[in-house]
Amino acid sequence: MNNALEVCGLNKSYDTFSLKDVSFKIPTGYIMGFIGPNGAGKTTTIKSILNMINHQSGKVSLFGLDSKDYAGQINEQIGIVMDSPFYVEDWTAADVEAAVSPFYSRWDGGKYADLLKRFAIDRKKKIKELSRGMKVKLMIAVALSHEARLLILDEPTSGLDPVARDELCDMLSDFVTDENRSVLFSTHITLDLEKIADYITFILDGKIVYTGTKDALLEKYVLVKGGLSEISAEQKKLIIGLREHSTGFDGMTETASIGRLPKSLVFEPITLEEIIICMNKGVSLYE
Amino acid sequence: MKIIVSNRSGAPIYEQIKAQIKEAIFSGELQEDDLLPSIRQLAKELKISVITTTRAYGDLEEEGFVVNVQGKGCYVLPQNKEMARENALRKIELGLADAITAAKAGGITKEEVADMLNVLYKEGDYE
Amino acid sequence: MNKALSFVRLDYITVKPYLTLKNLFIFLAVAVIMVINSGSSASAIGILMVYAALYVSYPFAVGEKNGIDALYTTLSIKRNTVVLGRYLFALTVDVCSGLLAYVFSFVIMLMLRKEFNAGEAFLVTLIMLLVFSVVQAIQLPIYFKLGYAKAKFIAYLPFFCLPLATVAATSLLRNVLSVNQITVLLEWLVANTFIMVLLGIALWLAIVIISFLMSLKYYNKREL
Repeated sequence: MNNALEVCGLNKSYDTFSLKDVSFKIPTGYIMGFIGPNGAGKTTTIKSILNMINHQSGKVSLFGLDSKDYAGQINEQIGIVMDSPFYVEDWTAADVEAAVSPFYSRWDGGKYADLLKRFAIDRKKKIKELSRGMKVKLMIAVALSHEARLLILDEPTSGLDPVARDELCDMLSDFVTDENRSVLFSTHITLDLEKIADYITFILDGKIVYTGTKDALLEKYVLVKGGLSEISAEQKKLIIGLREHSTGFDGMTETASIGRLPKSLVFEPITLEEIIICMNKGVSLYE
Repeated sequence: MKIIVSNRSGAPIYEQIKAQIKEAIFSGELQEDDLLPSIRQLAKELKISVITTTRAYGDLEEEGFVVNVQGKGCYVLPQNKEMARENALRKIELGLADAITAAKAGGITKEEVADMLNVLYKEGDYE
Repeated sequence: MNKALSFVRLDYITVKPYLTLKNLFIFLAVAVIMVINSGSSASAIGILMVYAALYVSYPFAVGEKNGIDALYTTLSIKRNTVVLGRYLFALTVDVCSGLLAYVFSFVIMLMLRKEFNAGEAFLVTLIMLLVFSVVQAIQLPIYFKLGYAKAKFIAYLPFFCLPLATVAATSLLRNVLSVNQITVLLEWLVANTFIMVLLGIALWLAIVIISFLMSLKYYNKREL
């Protein structure tokens, strides 16, 4: 199977932060969620993939082509949605079309008009007058109007109400009903991914902590809770992101480690959000 | 055909899908050569991941319930009479066990239960 | 080249919301006042060309404020194309405003019933065009290297430097050369206008090319 996106050994250093050896792949036809706490490196990685910033080493290929050598061809097929539009805020939706359509050989004006209507975006209204949700929908309208094969979304849902987020998820699911299309969806609101993501890449502090199917990730870890006296100091080491309080403790542990813990403890299926929280705590405690 | 999935039921979602499709096949709701919804269409409608539906259909194919035709989709295979029968027997046993428990609790005799069985068969026109 | 032209259009669309009639009227009003004051069309042309020169910085200002460099990347507009397009945009703005200025000064002179010297007006327009083009040639690489916010103040230095430089040059000439030598020089210049014009254009071309190459280098290095 072909990969829509392949990132190999991406490295990028700033003064206070660096991406180290970031690698992951998105097979064509699937949705990958890109998760991690704020500041973990999601946006930096995405900007490197899109050549908005230069990476020091590593290779990025999209649709099998090197991202730097074939930048022109590739970008035509990528639809990009960021958390704020990179359009002039005094532009109208009509201005946006006039501005971008000459650069897309497969721009579909009819589809753009349909999408604007469907999203109830007034062609003549300035971008700065649109609500946050409408701005995101405008970016999506643009992204879907030039026959993109890969949608890359960087935190599009922060600040959106649940209704808008649900609509966005619907659109993404609809997008991949065509198995030649793929999605990379970076967010720290994991609720959306819990439902529709096929694959998850988890980045923490500039390093990839997990990349693979969502199901495997959710099966790999389990929530564990119990009383303080039920667990020995040795066993505590198996708990990631251990949180102790007066009436007990909770944390996360690998499903494989369940056998080494007392049966009296409570084990529950875990959510993506809890994994992020526990891992984030775990890093600082077990560095 | 009805397929609904629950995040809260404890069973993995792909298992839930499998179970409901098998049920539809056993009950005759899904006939031989019927086409199942496409993997991606189903994922979109149930708001779940494509990998989940792929897994469910993949398992069903392995277990002999459906066959995946490249480019067309998943078709229901003619059913193994044995399996259908076994499934039916299992359900009857569960149903009867429940009935017997209720009878004992309510002080109903075995003869009364047998009578009820005959009446229900006649009424439902199963004979 | 196609992409560069599309980019010029994109720059136009970028600044379009800010090309308000209000701005234009203000400048036209100032131009009228200056013509009434000085009596010649030169000042009208001058002020309109200043307008043009200012507008060249708009794509940088607006673009930076809205993070438009990211847009350029997603539209796979190569960095070199952005630079070429921006220079073409500047050229277009200069030429358009030169034409506008010429026509407008004609209209003003007509309305004020003053004599309109077509030749003089044309020469003034041409010289202004070259001068402002040189000023822009100095400004553009600065904008490309530092971005609008940081470059704002530095970029306007040439505007101030120009009159200063002219004063310095003339006083230098006066001090260094005797009156005789200056007269000889001026006579030679007038006699060889054609060569002067050629030299002027060659110099202008050299400055613009150097500026363009510098802009290419700076913009290609910039991180977004």
